[in-house]
Amino acid sequence: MALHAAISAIYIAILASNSALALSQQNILDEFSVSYRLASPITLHEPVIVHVSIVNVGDESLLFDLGFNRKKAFQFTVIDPAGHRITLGPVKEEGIDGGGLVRLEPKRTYTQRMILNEWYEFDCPGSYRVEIRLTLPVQADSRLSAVISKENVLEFEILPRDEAVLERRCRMLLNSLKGEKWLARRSAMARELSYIKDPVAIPYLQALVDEGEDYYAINGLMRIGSDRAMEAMIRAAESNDVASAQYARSLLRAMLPKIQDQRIRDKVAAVVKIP
Amino acid sequence: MTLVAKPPASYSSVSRCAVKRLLPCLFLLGILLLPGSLYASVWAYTWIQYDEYPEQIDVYGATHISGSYQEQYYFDFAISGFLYANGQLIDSDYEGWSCEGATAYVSVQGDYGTLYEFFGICDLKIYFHDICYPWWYDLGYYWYVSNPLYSPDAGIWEPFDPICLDDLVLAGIGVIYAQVRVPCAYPTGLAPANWHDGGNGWLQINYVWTSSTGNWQSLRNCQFREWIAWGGEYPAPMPPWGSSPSPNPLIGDAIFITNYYFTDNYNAGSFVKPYRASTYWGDQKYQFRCPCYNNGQWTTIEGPCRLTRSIIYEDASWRCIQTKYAEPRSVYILP
Repeated sequence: MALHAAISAIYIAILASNSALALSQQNILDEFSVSYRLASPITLHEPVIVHVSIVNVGDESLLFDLGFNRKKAFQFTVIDPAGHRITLGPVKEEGIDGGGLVRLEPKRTYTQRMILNEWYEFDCPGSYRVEIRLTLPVQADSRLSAVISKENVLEFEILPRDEAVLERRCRMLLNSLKGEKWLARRSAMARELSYIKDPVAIPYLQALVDEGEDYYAINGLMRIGSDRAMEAMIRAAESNDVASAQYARSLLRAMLPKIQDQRIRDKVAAVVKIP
Repeated sequence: MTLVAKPPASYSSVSRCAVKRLLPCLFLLGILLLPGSLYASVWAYTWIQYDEYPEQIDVYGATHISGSYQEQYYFDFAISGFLYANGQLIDSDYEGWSCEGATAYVSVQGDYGTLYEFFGICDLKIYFHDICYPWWYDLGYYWYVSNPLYSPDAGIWEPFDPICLDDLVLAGIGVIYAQVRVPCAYPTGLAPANWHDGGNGWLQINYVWTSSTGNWQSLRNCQFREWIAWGGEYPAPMPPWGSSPSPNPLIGDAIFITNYYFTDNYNAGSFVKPYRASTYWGDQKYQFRCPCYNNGQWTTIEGPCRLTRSIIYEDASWRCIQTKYAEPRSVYILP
């Protein structure tokens, strides 16, 4: 009898803890609000920027982990204008990771800008649908942690290439960046500019070198990959930032055989010290 | 916290004040009663300017403060200021903040201004408008500076002496003006704290550092990046390596310092049979940049330190060993 009572007590305790866990997960899920915003329409070769807002609508602090450099928790599936469904791979988890832990106080909002082109190129105009699944562990102050998953859908239009729009966006980003002392904003603008994968962006990317944002300039020019982009990268290869200059030269060296224009190839060869 | 009063740089005209007539006496009284010549000079400037009858009062002209605020751990300030009259707060409804300085960033949320500032000098201004109260009120203001992260309630309201005003109602724009001095914060002493063999050729090393100000959170406007130059049997021969890291040298994505540590993740990649002994390495540097340090240039904080990747035959199996800081940190038995 005593054994039966003990077993019952344990059983009840397990049931109670399970229901408490379920309740806790539900509560945390309710307190964790995620939304996404995206400017639409945009034109071809503009970066596709998603603004993520996570709101703690509850009364307790929430601690959550967005994973590797605050990106891993997001999984994207793109349905392109032709109707193809493409599940995008996870972020590459190599290199340095500043961590993804975020503490969010009650009634506060965490925001993050994400450049979807890091995952997918969006290289033709038309209607896109992006399904975003956010899966992450969340812990509330006084309750158990729970892994929650939230799904959202974004639908947007990419219009045909418009040189004037691209030019305006490049100019706006570069001008804003020039006056910006706050590195987080500055880098975000430089990164955004580096994802304008269009010849229009070349002089602006080149100007990024003068602003000390060589890394974004180099990567942006590499994404464009044209002869003119390689010519523009010479400035980065001669930059005062020694590490970036070496980085640029190593990339130029690899690109050299692909450069069609003899004049540009000679210039690049001179910079990378290949006869 | 220390706010040091200094004379204003410029003035606007202010309402006639009855007390103006008592100026010489007050000036002498200020010198006698208030310790420190700076306070006395503020009094002097304040009263001397009450010459004109204006449509507006410019608090800036009357009560310019130039304060300095420098302690060990500042990166995140809450700064607030408002007006009071006859010892009571009035609805000053200030318009907002501005921060004029070479290196400052200010965000404003509602009635609260937060300054994210890491170095240098920032001139902060609080703009008031529609300040209305009867002439018999003594107008003053409080200036509040605190670090909400570390001492949310520890800010001190600094009272300043009330302004004596003349008749009628005052309406206008007032500016509280102060200087904030914050030391440059930059990371120092970056070093490995621990490492983890992640299996399948993965290695994670956690790094920690300190801040020049003693507070790592003052580094939020700083970034880290890695730089690796590959050598040895490079490009990594295939087989036995399934891929070779590139380019050479490599710069990794910069991260912001939002934490007190970061993790460097190394992946030896895949492997291709037939296996054979092979070694290549990467000489790795970590660099940081903070706008206040070294003109915002990237500066090496650690390295170069060698990461070695070797495939060797040992104990009847082929293994990939990753070595850093002269010791094997991950060992993967190849399939």
